[in-house]
Order: sequence, then C-alpha cells, then structure tokens
Amino acid sequence: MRLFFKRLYFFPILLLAGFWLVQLAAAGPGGPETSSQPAPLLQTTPVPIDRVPMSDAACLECHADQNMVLPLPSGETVSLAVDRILFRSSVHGRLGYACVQCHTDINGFPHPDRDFQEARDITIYMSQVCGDCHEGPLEEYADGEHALFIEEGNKESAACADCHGAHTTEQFSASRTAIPKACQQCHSEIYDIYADSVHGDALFEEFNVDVPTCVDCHNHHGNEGPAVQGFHLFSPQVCAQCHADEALMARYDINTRVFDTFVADFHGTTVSIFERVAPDQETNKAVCIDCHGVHNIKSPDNVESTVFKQNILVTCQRCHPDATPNFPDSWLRHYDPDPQNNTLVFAVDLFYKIFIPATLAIMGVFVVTDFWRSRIRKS
Amino acid sequence: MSETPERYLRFPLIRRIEHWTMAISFTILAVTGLPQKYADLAISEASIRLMGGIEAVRIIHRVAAVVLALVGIWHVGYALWHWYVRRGALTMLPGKEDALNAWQALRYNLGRSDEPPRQGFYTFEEKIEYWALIWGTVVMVVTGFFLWNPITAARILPGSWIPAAKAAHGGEALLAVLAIIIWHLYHVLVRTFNRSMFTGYMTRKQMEHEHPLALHQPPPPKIDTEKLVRRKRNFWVGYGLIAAIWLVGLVWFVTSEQTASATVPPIQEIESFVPLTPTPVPVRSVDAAAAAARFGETWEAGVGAIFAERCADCHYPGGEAGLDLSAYDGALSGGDSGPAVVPGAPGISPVYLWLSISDHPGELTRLEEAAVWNWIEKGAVEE
Repeated sequence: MRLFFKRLYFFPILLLAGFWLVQLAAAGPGGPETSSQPAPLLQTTPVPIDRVPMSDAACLECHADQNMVLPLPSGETVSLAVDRILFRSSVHGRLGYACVQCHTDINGFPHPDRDFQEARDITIYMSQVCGDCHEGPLEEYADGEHALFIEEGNKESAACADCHGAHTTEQFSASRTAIPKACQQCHSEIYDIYADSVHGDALFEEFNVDVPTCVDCHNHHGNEGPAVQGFHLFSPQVCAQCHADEALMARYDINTRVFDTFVADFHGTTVSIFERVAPDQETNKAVCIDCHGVHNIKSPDNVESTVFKQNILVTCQRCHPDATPNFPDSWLRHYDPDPQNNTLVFAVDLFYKIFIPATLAIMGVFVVTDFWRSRIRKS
Repeated sequence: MSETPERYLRFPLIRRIEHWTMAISFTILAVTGLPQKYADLAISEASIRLMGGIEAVRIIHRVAAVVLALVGIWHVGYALWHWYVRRGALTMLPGKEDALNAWQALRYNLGRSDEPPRQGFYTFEEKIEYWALIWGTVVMVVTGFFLWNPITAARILPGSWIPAAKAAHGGEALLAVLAIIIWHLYHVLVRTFNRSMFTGYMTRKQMEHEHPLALHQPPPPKIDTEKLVRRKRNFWVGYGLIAAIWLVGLVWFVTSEQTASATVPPIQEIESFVPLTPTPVPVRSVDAAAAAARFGETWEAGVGAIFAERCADCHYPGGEAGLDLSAYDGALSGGDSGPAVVPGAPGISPVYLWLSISDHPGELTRLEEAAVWNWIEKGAVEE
C-alpha cells in the first residue's frame, strides 16, 4: 500500500517541497509567515490544469478524513475535510479544476503557516483567490457594501464563498430561487418579507422568472442598499427597468405608464429634477418604494398593500402627518388625466388648451395688423 | 394744463415703483416657475442648476409671490385713495367706448378707416393688459394657495382640486407670460418705445397721438379741507381693515402648513443582518441516504453492480494493472500496486482516488460515487 503511493507521488512531492523550501529561504528571515499583516492579495494566474503542482489525490490523502479539523486561536475549529463527491458535482468540479488551482498558496506539505485568528478570516481571505480567475466580479464586489463593511472590520459581511459556496460552488443561473436563498443566510428577516411579497410569491409559488430577486434591485457583486448615497433617489429607475417595459408588463396587464405618470406628478417631478441637478442630495419627496413598500410590495388590489384604497391615507400620513381623508385624491394614481380618471384636471387642461390659443390669437390679430398698418403708413 | 405744457406727468414715482416691483416679481415668478412646469427640458435643468437647485428655486418663487401679494395690498390702497379721497376718475374701468375703440383700431389697421381711435388716459390695449393681470393674479394666488397648502385645502375641498390647481397654475402662467410678451412688450417697446414708465413723463406729441382725450380732461374738482380730512380718516379706517385682513391672510398663507415631513421616514425598520444559525457547513451525507437507497451498502446489494458496469471492462481478472473489480474478492485483494479498497477509509482508498486522476477513463456518477464512498466507509462488506 505504501509502495503504491510512493511510486506515484514521491518524486513530484519531493520536487515541490524543494521548491517551497527555496522560496522560503528567498523570503529571508521574518518571511511572510511571521508577518502580522493580512496575507497580500494573490497575484498568481490560475495554474493550467496540466501543470498543477499536485493532484487532488495527494490532497485527499489527508483531507478526505472527515474528522480533520483545524483549531484556531479564537477557539473555533474549522473542518478541513473535503467532500470529493460534493466538489465533483460543483461547477468547478465538473469542469475538472484541481484543489490547488484555488488553494494556490499550497504546493506541498507542510503547508505555509497562516495567521488566521478565526474562521471568518479564512473565508474572507479566500475571496482574493476567486479574483484570480473572476477578476471583474471581484472588482465589482470591492465597490459593493459587503466589501466595504469587511474593510471597516465587520467580518460578518459576506465574502465570495458565503453566497457562492466554496467546494459546492454552483452557477446562480441554474436556479433563480437560489439567489434569495443565498441572501437569506444572513438576511433572513428581509427574506421572509420578500417571500411574502408579490414578487417573492410569484418566484417561489409560480416559479416565475420575470419577477425581480434580491440582486435585480440591489445588484449582485457591487451590492448596494439604502445606506448608499443616491440609492433612494434613483430607485424609481430600478423599478422602471421592468415596470416601464411594455412587453414584460403586457403579460401581467400592468400599466406601463407608472413611471411617466410618477414623473409628471408632484413627487416625481421633484425627484427627477434632483436626479439630474443634485444627484448627491437626498430629497424628502416620495419615490415608488415609499408608497408601495420595499421588500413587502403587494399588488395594489391586495388588501394588505400599502396603496390599497383603504390603506392609502395611512401611507400618505407617513410623510404628510396632517393629511385628511380628502388628501389622497390629490394624487393622480398613475393615471394620465382623461375624462374618466382625474376629470377635473382634464377639464382644466382642456380649458387652457382652448383659452390660451384663443386669447393669444385675438391679441395676435391686433398686434399683427397694427404692425402692418404702422409699416404701411411709414412707407 | 391749460398752458399746454410740452410734457405730461403720466406716472408719478410711486406708481413707477409699484410697476417695477411688480414687473420684477412677475419676472422672477416666471423664471422660477416655468422650469418647474417644464421640468424635463434641458433649459429648465440648466436654469434650475444656475439658481442653486430646486429647493432654492422654490424658495425664490415663494418670496416673489409674497412680494406680488404685497404689491396687491398696495394697489388696492392706492385705488381706494384715488377714488374715495381724491375723487379721481376711475379711468381703468372698461366701458362701451373701449369696445368701439378696439373695433375702430381693427378697422384702421386693416385700412378700412383713416382715423385711429381717439382714446383717453388709458387705452383699450392698456385696459386689456390691466384686467388680464388682475384676473391672472387672482387665479395664481388662489391656485398657488392650493399648491402651497395642499393639506389645508383638502380639509375643505376635494383632493382632486389640488392637481387641478396645479394644472391651472401652469396654464395661467404660460398665458400670462405669453400675453406679456405679445401684448405688453409689443405695445410699449416695439410699436413705440414708451419712456413714461421710466421717466414718468410723456411728450405732448405722444399724448396727442396716444391719449388725445386725456389732454382735454377738466382738472379734478377742488375739495375743501374739512371734507378731505374726514375722507382721509375714513380711508385709513377702511383700508387699514382691508390691509390688516390681507396681511393676516398672507401670513396664514405662508406659515399655516408644514406640508410634508422634512425627511422621508424609513420605509421599513428591519434588522438587516439576521443570519440563519448556524451558517450551514457542507456535509457529505446529503447523498448518502439516496445512494444507500439506490445501491444499498453492500457489494451484493448493488455496489458490486456499479463496479461491474463501470470498471470491469478494463479491470477484469488479468486485466489492467492486475486489478479485478468484477468480483468482491478481486476488489478487496487489490492489484499490482497494492490494495484498492481500504475498508472503513474511503478517503485513502485508491479505488476511489483514482477517479480524481483526470486521464483515468472510468467515471462514476455522483450517486455511484456516493454509494462507493458509503460502502467503503461502512467496511466494504460483501453482503
């Protein structure tokens, strides 16, 4: 049995151990292991599969042991066991990637020392490795709120593997319901509210692929939320991505004029001016989510909706505390003024459509003829 | 007047101040109001930016509106004084002669008559301008109140009046601005350049041309001092009351309502970070049950069949690497390079590890791998 392994692996392992020792020597006294700084971002490019320093079988010699754990200074123990079956079924496993193509700092045994204090340090550290191949997503991630929180020292914030899994990485395109479920791991309260909303309900109950999941509004890698400046101000544009889409909304018989009518009405006019003139300022004018809700958005026909007819006054009073029952009718309810909806506004508009040209025409007749006569007389 | 002086005082200084105060506030109202009506135009965006943003624009608009309202109080007082105390003629009131003058002007302009209308102190053109301004100001003040104080308005009136007021405010604004440009500016700048609102005076020639009837008006009657004192006292009582009501109304107009909260309250108070605990760690057993159900946990039950189907094409007795995987004994005894199965230790069992060598031709499905793992872990028993 021992002979079997020696024949297969002894030479490459020896060779790589030698390389590693040379590297260690080159690092000189007080090399990277003794540094208290976090490990630098890995700059290596993925090693081609035919030149990986060691095969998975060598790793699994030890890491197949399901009881293998690493005790950390924090008192936690991290499982070092690798489930080959699960890995092989992940997207990386199916594509045949080897262990050391992600664990790029390991090229033999013993492994380099790492000064991980707690389990989260490892997960956060490994995000850098993902960027070796997934450069764009990592850059986007670095601009997102999760990465900013980590930078501020909040280790609970999500790293790559928290959403994507580590050895179980799967493409999210394989399942839309997997997206909210990934977020649920940390944002379970919001998930529960979303799952009960018109969007979440359609996603989970009808497997509807048109409804937005978390990332459609919050972005995925460069994720952002209400704490990000401009998120609230520009949020109507997010809603409009779908709700102003004729083809998409036709399937559900939803009015696509919602965005334009919002912009034409009191709140929306100001919001649209702010967007263009003062994008760095917040306005106290309501956007879509202030009336319709955020994660808890319901159909306006649903009695639980914040914009259901009997609930709308309460919704108005959030910003207009003194509003009385007549007040909600000052909102045009996303209708363009026409004889059926917003009759009075339609009538006033019509009056001025006639009155302005008529008045100006009469004035024009006097002015033009007067001008003509005075020129004639002069000549 | 009987000495036929060369120039006539048409607008005393106080009237010029009144005019220009109003003209400036009107212009500011137009400049700050129209970009709000046509908010989506690029020029509106540029001018709002120039004026310091929409909130600044709205404050300027409202200050100008208050100035216009104060001019209104002043004007009512002036008109009352002129009519009641000084018994001056109400030269601005429209009459039948204005309609006739307009008709005559049109005939003259069209060449149907050689004589332009002979008009008094205020021509029909000026009366149209004046009454249009009065009408427009009333509409703008009333609708402006709705927009400034929508909640107060909705206490008494249907809510739908507020957007209707907005429509009227915008429509009337457009009409007023266009009328000023087409009508007023034409008459005072283009037709003749009328200096009287700057200097206060008109030349005799201009008066003969524009206001011939005013030249021959009798001077106002002499009023005896006692009557004048009494009228002045009455005026101040009456006008004082009107002005006080107007001012109180204006203060109410401006301060009665905090329309909306200064900041939009948070939509939902939710704890953002609520992790499912504990964070799940991948566990291998997910497929173990399914694999056991499908293939069993012994060679005989089904694991042997996996080897027979997947491996035995090469690893038959005397086959590749001396390893026979077609039978239980062969599998357990191993091949040229030692044992293939280490019972109880799937992680180091070569039969398993070989599958990770990329050029090894044999492949197992996920479930089959799980079954093999399971079988070795459970001791690699035959039955």
